[in-house]
Amino acid sequence: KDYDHFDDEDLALSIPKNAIGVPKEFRQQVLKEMKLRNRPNDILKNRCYCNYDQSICGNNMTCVKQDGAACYHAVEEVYNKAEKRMETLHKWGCATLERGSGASHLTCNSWRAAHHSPKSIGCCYEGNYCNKNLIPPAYVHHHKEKALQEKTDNPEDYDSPLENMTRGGKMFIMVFATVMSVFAVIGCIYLCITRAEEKSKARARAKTVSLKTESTYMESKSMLEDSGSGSGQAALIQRTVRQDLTIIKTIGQGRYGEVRKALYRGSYVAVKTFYTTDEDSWKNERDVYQTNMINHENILQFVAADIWSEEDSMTKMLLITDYHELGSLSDYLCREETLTTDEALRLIHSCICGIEHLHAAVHGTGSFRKPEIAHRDIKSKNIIVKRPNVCCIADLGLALRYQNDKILPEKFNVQVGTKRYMAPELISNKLNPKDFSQFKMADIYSMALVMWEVAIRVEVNTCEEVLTVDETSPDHSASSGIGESVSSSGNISRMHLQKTNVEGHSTSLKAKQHVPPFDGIVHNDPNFDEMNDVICVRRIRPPPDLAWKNVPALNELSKLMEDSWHSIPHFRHSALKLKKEMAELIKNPDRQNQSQRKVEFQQQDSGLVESATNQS
Amino acid sequence: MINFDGIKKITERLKWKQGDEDENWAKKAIDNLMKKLIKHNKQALENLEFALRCQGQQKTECVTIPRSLDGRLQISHRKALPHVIYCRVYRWPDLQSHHELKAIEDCRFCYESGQKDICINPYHYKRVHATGVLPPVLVPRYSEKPPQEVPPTLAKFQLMEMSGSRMPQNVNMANVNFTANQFHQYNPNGIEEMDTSQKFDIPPGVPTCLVPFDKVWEEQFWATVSYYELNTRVGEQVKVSSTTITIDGFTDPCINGSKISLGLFSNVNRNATIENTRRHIGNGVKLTYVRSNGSLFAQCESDSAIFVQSSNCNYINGFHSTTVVKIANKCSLKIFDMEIFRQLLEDCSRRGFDASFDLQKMTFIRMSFVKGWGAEYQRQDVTSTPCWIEIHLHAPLAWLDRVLSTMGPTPRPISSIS
Repeated sequence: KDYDHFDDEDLALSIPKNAIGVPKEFRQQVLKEMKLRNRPNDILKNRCYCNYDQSICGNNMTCVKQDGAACYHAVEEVYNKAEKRMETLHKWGCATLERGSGASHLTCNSWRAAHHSPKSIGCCYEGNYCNKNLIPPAYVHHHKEKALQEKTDNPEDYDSPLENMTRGGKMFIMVFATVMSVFAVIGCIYLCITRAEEKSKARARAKTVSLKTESTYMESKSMLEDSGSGSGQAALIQRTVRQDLTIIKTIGQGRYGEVRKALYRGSYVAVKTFYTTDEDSWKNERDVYQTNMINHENILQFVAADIWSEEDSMTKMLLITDYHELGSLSDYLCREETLTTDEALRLIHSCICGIEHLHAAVHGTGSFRKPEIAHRDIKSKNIIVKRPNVCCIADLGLALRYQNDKILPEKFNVQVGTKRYMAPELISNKLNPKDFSQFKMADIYSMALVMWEVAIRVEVNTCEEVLTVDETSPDHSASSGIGESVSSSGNISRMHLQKTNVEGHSTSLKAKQHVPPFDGIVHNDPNFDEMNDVICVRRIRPPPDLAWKNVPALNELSKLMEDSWHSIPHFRHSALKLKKEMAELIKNPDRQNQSQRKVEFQQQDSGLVESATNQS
Repeated sequence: MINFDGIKKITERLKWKQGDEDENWAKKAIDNLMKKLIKHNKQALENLEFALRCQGQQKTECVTIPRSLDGRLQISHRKALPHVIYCRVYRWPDLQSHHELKAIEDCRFCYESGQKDICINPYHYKRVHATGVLPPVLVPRYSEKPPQEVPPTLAKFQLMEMSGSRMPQNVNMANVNFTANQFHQYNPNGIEEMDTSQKFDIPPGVPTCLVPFDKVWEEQFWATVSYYELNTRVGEQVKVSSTTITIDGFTDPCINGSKISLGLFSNVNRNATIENTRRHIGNGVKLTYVRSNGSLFAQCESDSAIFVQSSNCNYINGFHSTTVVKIANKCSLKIFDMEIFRQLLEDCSRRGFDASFDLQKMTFIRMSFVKGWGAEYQRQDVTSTPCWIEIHLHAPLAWLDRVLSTMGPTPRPISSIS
């Protein structure tokens, strides 16, 4: 049997039931009938009033609809910008015959749907210009807010047609409700009249309410589709790193924000928060941490960055890193326990390994390369103790990267960091910001001060001569022997010392209390002038301990320090040189003469050195 | 029979509604109450009138209505506890639940007492801080326009101001004129009670270290605008010098200082939601900064609403500090008032560093386009909205900084100074 497919899409839905499966010869006949039926039949019954332009309505304001289609009268509220008021726009015309329905239901029912501006349409099917005097249904579901808005914008437009229409609509509902209640009153005539009235009113109200909620739902749904605003249907919100953090406690406070301990996916992390005013610092630190191949045992491990808003509605930028229980090197040195020479050497060595890795450029395959990085804020507070003997470098907010002969970030301030640790060329503003190596040299200066901080905490108990000196003048040792200026932190450290004197006479006397460099010489938060006077003019450096002379390794360390905090940047050691020297010192702490130095320097990182020294 | 003038006065105050609230909800709630009181307790109606008139200045009697079976009352389609409803209607439009309320000791029929009648006297409850409250969302019913757009009828206010009068600037465009003074009459207790939890005792005679602020806003740039998409910062920060600036969603590349086109900002990690939202930013928002007095107005130019979180604006209106305000098309609102900030700073500078430092929050204003966040929305946090900006106001920040620098250091130890 030869079944044919209907090619004419327009007819696909309007096939009469008996046409299905009709053989080919009948099909021609069916098509003919269809065409005949679809052609507008220009009889009075199909004529509608029409106010479109001539191409549609012809000369006599008339259009001819198809059999079964409708004539319509549409109204719409539009804003007349010239006259600044709302106007009603009227349109008359012929609706199309819709596929499958045999009428114009879709067009004629469109007034029921939500519209952005008030719109309505009324239909009649009998032709004969029936639409000319047709009144469309009242507006429904338009934006009330918008209407209100326009109302407040144009207070003189209070009696705009729109207002009338909505008022008319309300009136209709009210009349309806009263009629309903009257019926109810008649029905319940035996009952108490007031109660019955109230009840029926409530029922009527409930009905309108449910209608209303439905309409708002429709509205919100349509808004959702066009991505409008409003509380619509549930859209899943992406979780970010922040939602996986459980804050435990605050562990540090700074001008930039806070550092908190938190639990993240089962492990402890440190969360550093920035105010959005310090976005540059956050962004730079994040970018440095995310530099290729920056991963290193002696650089604080970065976990993630995120932006979120705290409960007090402050936007905070987060940096999440590994958490280390022992805290900063500064805290570590403040403990009661003193260090052995070996511990001190290893702490310093691991710091230098971190700095050396930052300073060095590393090339991998393809575009993977690690730029040279200068830290610019090295101090004992910015070094974290991972575990006994091992440190890592943290706080890269001020770091500069040197990539393809360019310094990143492009805009940066030169004189930044902690003034107490600033190199003399930075304090006196003589550093050439175009020469990246100068920033690295400045780092070495700061590192030398940190080396001193560590070294003075070494317990030296081999020399009795020094011991007696210490015991006779404990105050002197606290203020590092230089200057007697009364700064608040100096006082505090001295009080601390006296306290430890009383408590543990035998243990802590041999090592000095932890103090920051230049303690007692400069104020707590020194200014540039003060620092300039001390380190550039008077060229004061932290004093080496007399006892170090008796310990070969500390004596060597002291020499390295002195070289590294030299006033002339070029005279300072490079990080690589320091690293190798420190490795050698750890391996062979008792060497006395320079000739023994020619030992292989193959160990490249602290881990290797540790294992090597453990074997020996 | 009943003094309807008083009731009318009350309804005039209803300048704000919650985001998902029916337009006439508050009015319906009042009507409902009136009916209940007339029927059950005519004396109470007078008590309520009195309580509302003296606004907590004097002791007032309980105003009770019978407690329903489940304790809740249905107004329109919304069901809530009656005391919450009337505290919200009469005092705190941003009130969300009974956890934020506590009855005063004098109240004999308070909600907590669980009696057959329940007291709904709004001045028999005080506001307490509840933890974990999502930001309430409020919609202004009236528009506040920047002074230069004030119609001639209100121009005399400006004239008075120019002639040195200290007339407050926030003239309202709506048919009800109200000034800052009226604001304070309206909501003095609301503000005070919200603060009591963190009030310090200031010893008498402590000098304030307030710095005069005359030169603060002569700076060229008055704000920095940062654009965010979800939890990502996108594009460069823009410093703003022009006093009116439009932030729109188009791609106008000409940088004339009076427009920021967010369409120009690119982000490789943009998802479909963000793309779609960006298409709806449209004309965005117009910000008007009044240099002479440091106030800032936002007018929504977009067909979609904008959502603003300004803790200064919330303070002015006596709202919870995290309240999000929804501003619909063509609606304008004052979102920062320097005079209020000045008063607060003066106050906080006596309380010390931390209290003053906390004011920093007021200098940041966050604004989401198209999509809202807060208690009524799926998105609980601004960093979940697809397109938002943060505005840093320079003048108050600089001023705050000056005050802070004259103060002693924070009692909390700063562990690191860089």
